[in-house]
Parts: sequence; structure tokens; C-alpha cells
Amino acid sequence: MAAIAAAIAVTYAATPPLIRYLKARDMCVPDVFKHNSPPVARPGGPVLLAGIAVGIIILYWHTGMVSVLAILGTVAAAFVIGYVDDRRVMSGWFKPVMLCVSALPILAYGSYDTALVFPPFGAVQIPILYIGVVISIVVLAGNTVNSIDVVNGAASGYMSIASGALAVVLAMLDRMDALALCLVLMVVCVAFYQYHKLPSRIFPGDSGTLVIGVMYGCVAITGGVEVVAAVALLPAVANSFFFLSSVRRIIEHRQIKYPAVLRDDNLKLHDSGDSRAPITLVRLILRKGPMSEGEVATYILRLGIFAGGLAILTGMLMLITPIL
Amino acid sequence: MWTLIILGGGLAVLVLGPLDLGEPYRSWNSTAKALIAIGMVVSWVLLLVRLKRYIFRNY
Repeated sequence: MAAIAAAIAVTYAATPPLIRYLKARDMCVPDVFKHNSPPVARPGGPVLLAGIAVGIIILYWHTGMVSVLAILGTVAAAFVIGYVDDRRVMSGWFKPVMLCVSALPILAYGSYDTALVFPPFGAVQIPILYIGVVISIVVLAGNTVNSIDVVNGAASGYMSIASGALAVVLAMLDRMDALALCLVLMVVCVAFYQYHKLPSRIFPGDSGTLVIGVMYGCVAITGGVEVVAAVALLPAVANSFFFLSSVRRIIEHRQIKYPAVLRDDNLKLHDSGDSRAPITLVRLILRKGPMSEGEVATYILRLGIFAGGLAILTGMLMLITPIL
Repeated sequence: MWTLIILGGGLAVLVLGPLDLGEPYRSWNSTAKALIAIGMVVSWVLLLVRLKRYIFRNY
């Protein structure tokens, strides 16, 4: 409880000073879906890392589990990678390749079970292949959450819901260590969402999205709920997939020449209809017709709730899954 | 997508896991399983590509 309280307090209290600090140093980016594209502070990664780090350190202090420090090492490495990308636009390959390296602390400590559970059928033991699974989860979770940060509040709101669903499943399975980590992540996302929701006062940036994405992946690995975690992220996975399969190469979103979404004078977002532009989840949503940014954000969060429900259903199937 | 994940997991546990090529090919068991698993993932991706093309067929 102390870890959760400290994580939410640090994130909630430290965000306003960070916003003032970033604005004073002109570390802002235009919010392109608003009138006159007002500047918004970025990145919020430092407070997200601080909230998670405080929660993890208190957990270590109470439990003495060294494995949580390995997770903190992986999350901190993801923050550094994201922060470099926030300050300088790196190539599209930078984040995936460097995130493989960030998985080293969790791999070195080996704080995971090498059985991959497929509810409700059972599990497969993959001692060597699981190393690749760990690296894949860290890379995919980080980049997937990064790709869903498309409108105000989407990334932090979506991850609040996804980590909440994962927490319900971990509680059902009585995996208390992973549950504590998951609750730390959830409260950090909820606290940050208060400043990130429409109209955003701060953007998480690559450093923020990688921190919460990689932490989510680490919780999934530690709790042995990899499939459940993937199900909760399905809309975000679909977004990444649509993007990659339409541009057909790994590219930084800031390097895209043709816009997928356009904004009109009434602040309604439209599908650009440009066949050269990447296909994204927002574009798919806008197939229903023009929507305000708030409506798009609500739609994404509703998809998150639906995927979270499926994740909880998958978790319930784990209760009847034969144990190895 | 969810149904495919669950069914794919079932195939992995019930069919792929116990797969045994028998002697003298037993040493190739793991390789065969890994290749089939990769094939299943590729099939999943191809199915999603078709779905994406169907949704955005007007472009």
C-alpha cells in the first residue's frame, strides 16, 4: 500500500513543477489538433519514471526482492532510450534495437518462469526460446504503447485501463508480487492522465510511453500472464501492425511525409484519404466520419475497456488451465 | 484477433508441444516446432493484412 500511495503522490505532485520547468526552457511541442497549435510541455517521462521508481524501491525495501530492482533497471534503460529520442529525432530502428539491450537486466537476473501459458489449454516449457520471448515483449510493449500516443490522453488513459485489467487477473491468480508492481504502474498512469487528458498540459513523449510500455511488459513477464497482457493491448497492437504493414518499413512517425489525419476549422478530425499516408487506428476510427479529438480519445479508451474485458476473460480461462 | 490467439495457443499446446518426429529425426524436433510456430505467426499476420486491405479497399 505504501508503494502504491508513494507512486501516485510522486507522479501527481511532481508533474506541475515539471510542466513549469519544461515551459521555462521552451521544451514544448505544438498540439496540432487545437486552434493555433498551442505549445505543450514534453516530455513527461521523468515523472513517470520517478513514480514507478519510488514504488519499486519501496517494494524492495518491504520485500527484499532483488528481481524488482532488475525491472527498475530495464525501465530506467527504456527511459534513457526514449529521452534520447525526445531530444533528437533518431532513425526508426533506434528504439527497437536499443530496447533489446534494455531487456538485459531482467534477463540477467532471470526473474521469470520459462513456461508460456496459453489459456485454457495449458503451457509450453521453452527454457531457451523464452529469452527471445522476454526481449520481444519488452520491445513490442514499449513500441506499441509509443504508437498509441496519438491524441490527448490516449497513451496514459489506455494504459490505466490495460494495467487495471492485468491487475484484476493477477489478483484472481493470487500472484501478489506482480500485482503490487502492476498497481504501481496503474496508479502512475492514472495520476499522469489527470495532466495528459484533453486538453493536455504535458505529453509523455517517447521517454514516457517507453517507460510505461516496458514496465507493462515486465509485469506481464514477472506475473506469467504474457497472453493476457497481449490481449489487453490488442487495439494498440493492431495500430502498430496497420502502420507497419502500410509503410512497409520501420520508420519514426515524425518522418512521415503524408498526413493520415487532417483537422478542419471546426476542430473535427478527418481521414486524409491519402493512399500514401500510413494506416492507423485513428484512421480506422475516422472511417465512421469526422470526429473531435475528444471523441477519438473516448473511442480509443472504449476499445481499451473492451480489450481489458477480453483480457479478464482470458485470465478467468487461466484459472481452469492445467498446471505443468 | 482474440479468438485466433486462443486457438493458436491451443494448437501450440495440444499439437505442436507433443510433436515428435520419431527416430532418427528426433534431434530435429525443436527446429520443426519453432518453424511451425513461426509459420503460425506468419499466417496470423497475413490474415490481418487481408483484413486491413478489405477495410481500406477504397484507397
